[in-house]
Amino acid sequence: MLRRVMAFGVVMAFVVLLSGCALQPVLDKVGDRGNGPEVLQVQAAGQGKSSLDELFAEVASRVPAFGGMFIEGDILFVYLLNPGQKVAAERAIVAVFGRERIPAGGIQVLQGQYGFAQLKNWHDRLISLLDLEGVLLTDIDEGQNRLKVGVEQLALASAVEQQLASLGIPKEAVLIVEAEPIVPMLTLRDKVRPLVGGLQINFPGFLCTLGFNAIRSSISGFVINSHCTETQGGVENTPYWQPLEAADTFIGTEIADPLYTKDKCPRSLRGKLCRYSDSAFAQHDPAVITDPGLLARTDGANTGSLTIAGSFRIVGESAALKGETVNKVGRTTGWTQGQVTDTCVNTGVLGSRIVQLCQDFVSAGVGAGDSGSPVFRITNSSQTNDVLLYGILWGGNQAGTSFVYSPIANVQRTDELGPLTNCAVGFSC
Amino acid sequence: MLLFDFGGCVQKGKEAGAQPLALWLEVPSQARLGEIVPLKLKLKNTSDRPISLTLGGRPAHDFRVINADGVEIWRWSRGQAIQQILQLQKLSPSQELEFLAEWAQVDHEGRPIPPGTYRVWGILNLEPPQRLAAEPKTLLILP
Repeated sequence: MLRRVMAFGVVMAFVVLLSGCALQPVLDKVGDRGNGPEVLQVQAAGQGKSSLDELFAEVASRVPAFGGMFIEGDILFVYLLNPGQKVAAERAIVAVFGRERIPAGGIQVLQGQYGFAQLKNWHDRLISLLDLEGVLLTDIDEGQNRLKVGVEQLALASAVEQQLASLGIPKEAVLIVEAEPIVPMLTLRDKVRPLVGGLQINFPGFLCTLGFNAIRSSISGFVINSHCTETQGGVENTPYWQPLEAADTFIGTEIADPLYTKDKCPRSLRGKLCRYSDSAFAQHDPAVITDPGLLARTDGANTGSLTIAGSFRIVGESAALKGETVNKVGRTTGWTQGQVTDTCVNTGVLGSRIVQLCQDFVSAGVGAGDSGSPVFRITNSSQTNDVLLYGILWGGNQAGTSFVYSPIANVQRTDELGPLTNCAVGFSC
Repeated sequence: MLLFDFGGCVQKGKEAGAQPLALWLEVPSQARLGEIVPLKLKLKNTSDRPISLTLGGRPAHDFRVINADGVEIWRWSRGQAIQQILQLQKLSPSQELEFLAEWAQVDHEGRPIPPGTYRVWGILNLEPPQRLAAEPKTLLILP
């Protein structure tokens, strides 16, 4: 039975319910494994339920020649060390799993080389193999009447065989196969390390999005919106956590946030307070691991998905032209993409005296919580998912169909955050 | 009375007394032509326990004015940029929040509106796509 089922399509699931002392198995088809044989898999669901290993062991205790079984088409294939024990094996299978588990095509016996009890005994010892770097899974492969060890690279096979020998397990009984690493599905709202742009961040009482990692005056940190600090404009040493405040999620402290002032406003704007960007800078906590120049990439643009599927790599910076297609990644609406509709617009903020000078507008989805989202253009050059950083999102319309961002050149003006190093390692920007 | 709007679909809720939150508009019943009309949206925790909610955007509220023909002639947020922040708000029992704006009796294009009867709506945005809408109020604009 697979120890880590996520890496493989699981085809058949037994949900085995204990009713008093009687087992009441239920077979449920949950997927397809392609061309391979269908595999019987127990979905243990709490106390009082047995794993498939345990049920197979129960069959083997009644018929020691039993070596495992699997379904293919409408036939139940059963490995037996002694094929002459077919009748006894069928009786034991019915006793443990129920008669309804025998498909219409009946049972077909295959010559087994190992009894299930023997395989299980060896498999119980195999667990120590998972301590080896690159070993991903161990399994009793009931379709092959063998054990199976999944490794990241077949080059690890000799190391695995050495360990098998020390455990007293014959290598002929073990299939060593290449397997995909099992990666948990994380979203933009989960704790993600190394820290990258586009993730949810929390400061006291609020949620925003982390813009991008950067180095400012030799200090490693990250860029966020000025309005995602305790006070917009001015430094209050705002603390940040990712994704939410907890003992092990602190990521940094605000250290730069230029003031909004009247004298930054054009003369025609009376009674307003202006800046060229809605940006602030927080210093990384020394304990936090970061990936400079990377932004979280979800599994699709304009889908609403928040599931992280990889990353974008910042390889440069640029300014938008009207009509260009740009992107953003934020904790509320994920990765959205649309065209630049207006550039260098002096933009008032509803309900305040603040005016953001020379901002760019994009016709793309946005929602509350996306403040701080990195805005970028995908170039796929020199590698797939390489991007040019365009700026940091701070606002949008009420309908959530258009967002506004501060261009990266504005963010790096001397009267704003000043020069930043934003690119991935190996690139200069 | 509280109206719940999830994803654009407004659903009429139960009476305020039966809800943990009450949202209502405070708008003058009439105003003289050209007068600035104060608009106030109030949210109250009517339960006996703290309530956590997430306000969507800064500002999180909005107002709309509908004419006698049912046409929206003014919306506070129209053409405006809203900061896309989420505020984690805890309301103690009986605690109230106020959300304010003003209407200068102009339409979307900034033109003065004629005397007549108007309906005013108040909307509070929560974490997208959730939204609350208060029962609209009638406003009479006198000549």
